[in-house]
Amino acid sequence: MAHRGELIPAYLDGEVTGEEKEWLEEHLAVCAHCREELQALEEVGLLLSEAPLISPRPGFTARVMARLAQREARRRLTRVAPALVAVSLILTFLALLSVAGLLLPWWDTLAAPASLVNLGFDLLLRFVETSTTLAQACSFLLSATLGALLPRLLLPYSFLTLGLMMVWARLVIRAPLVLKN
Amino acid sequence: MPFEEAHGREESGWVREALAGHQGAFARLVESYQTAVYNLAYRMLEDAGDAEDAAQETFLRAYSQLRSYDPARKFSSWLLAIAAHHCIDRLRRRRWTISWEDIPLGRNLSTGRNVEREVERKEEREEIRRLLERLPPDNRLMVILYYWNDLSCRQIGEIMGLGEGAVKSRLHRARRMLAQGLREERESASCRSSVAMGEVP
Repeated sequence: MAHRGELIPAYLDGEVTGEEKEWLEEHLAVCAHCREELQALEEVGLLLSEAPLISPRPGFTARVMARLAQREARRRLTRVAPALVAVSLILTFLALLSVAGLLLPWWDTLAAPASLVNLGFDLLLRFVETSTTLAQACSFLLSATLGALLPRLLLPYSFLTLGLMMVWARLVIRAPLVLKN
Repeated sequence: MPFEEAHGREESGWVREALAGHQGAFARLVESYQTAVYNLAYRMLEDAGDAEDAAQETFLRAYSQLRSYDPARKFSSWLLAIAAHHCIDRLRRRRWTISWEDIPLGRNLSTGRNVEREVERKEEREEIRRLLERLPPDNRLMVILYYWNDLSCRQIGEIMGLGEGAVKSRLHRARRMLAQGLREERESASCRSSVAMGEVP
């Protein structure tokens, strides 16, 4: 076996056999270096094992639970996010389609303009014309739809509003309720 | 031990309830383990504000990873493993950032946190802090888990991905470094006091 001092760690942790313990103690009686080392290590062990556990400031649990509620609310919102992105993509696509539809009749003029001034007037005139027609068409469509559907839409609309309010209440009002727990 | 067994049963009930979405049950787990986790973070990071944040983050991570917890394992070891890895990560990140407190000017500007720290510092606590500071993060973590959290070398090995033998030898090396540090501290303290008494010219 190597130097007897190598048994010191096991000795400190109480993991030596009776024979090994005797063997080391014999050595400690004559070796000042190992004695000093053992004493220093015991002192460190004592200092650390007597050091108290440090507690957080009061109200730690409430602070954790408040952060948890915030994080959960954010997580719920991110679950809705893909749907929002999809809706906005569809709307963008529709908008692009209608812009393309607006530009289509002017395509020949845009491709071969007679003169820039003429083109400018032409564009302005057509824009006004199209917008007026479009606005008229939209208002007609809207009033016709609403007139026909309003009585039937009213109930689903109320439910939707109620549902949204409940979602809001769950996300926003729940946090302080959890805090009190 | 009957108490530990009963506590363990209660604890696994809380974990089950928390998994079912009862936040009150999770709050009980936080209440039970806040000191163990905070102490680990405080001893690792040596800053009350950082320790608070790291301890909170540990519980948030535990909540989101609760499904991966194996009930055959001790809940405390699982939780302390999350805390330990988080603190080591923070220390690594801290190497690349400069804290205001590292700038000497910052020490003179007495902020709320500094005052709070002044109050809670006692001589002995300060000595332990200075000693732990000498250790590299991995060794410091072992010492904390061994002495304050009462984990065995095998449990520490599980947390750190090391064998029991490796933990024992590193722990011993850490203890020797601490002993060396303690000796130096005491020597410089006695040197200071003899200078104060005028024994040394």
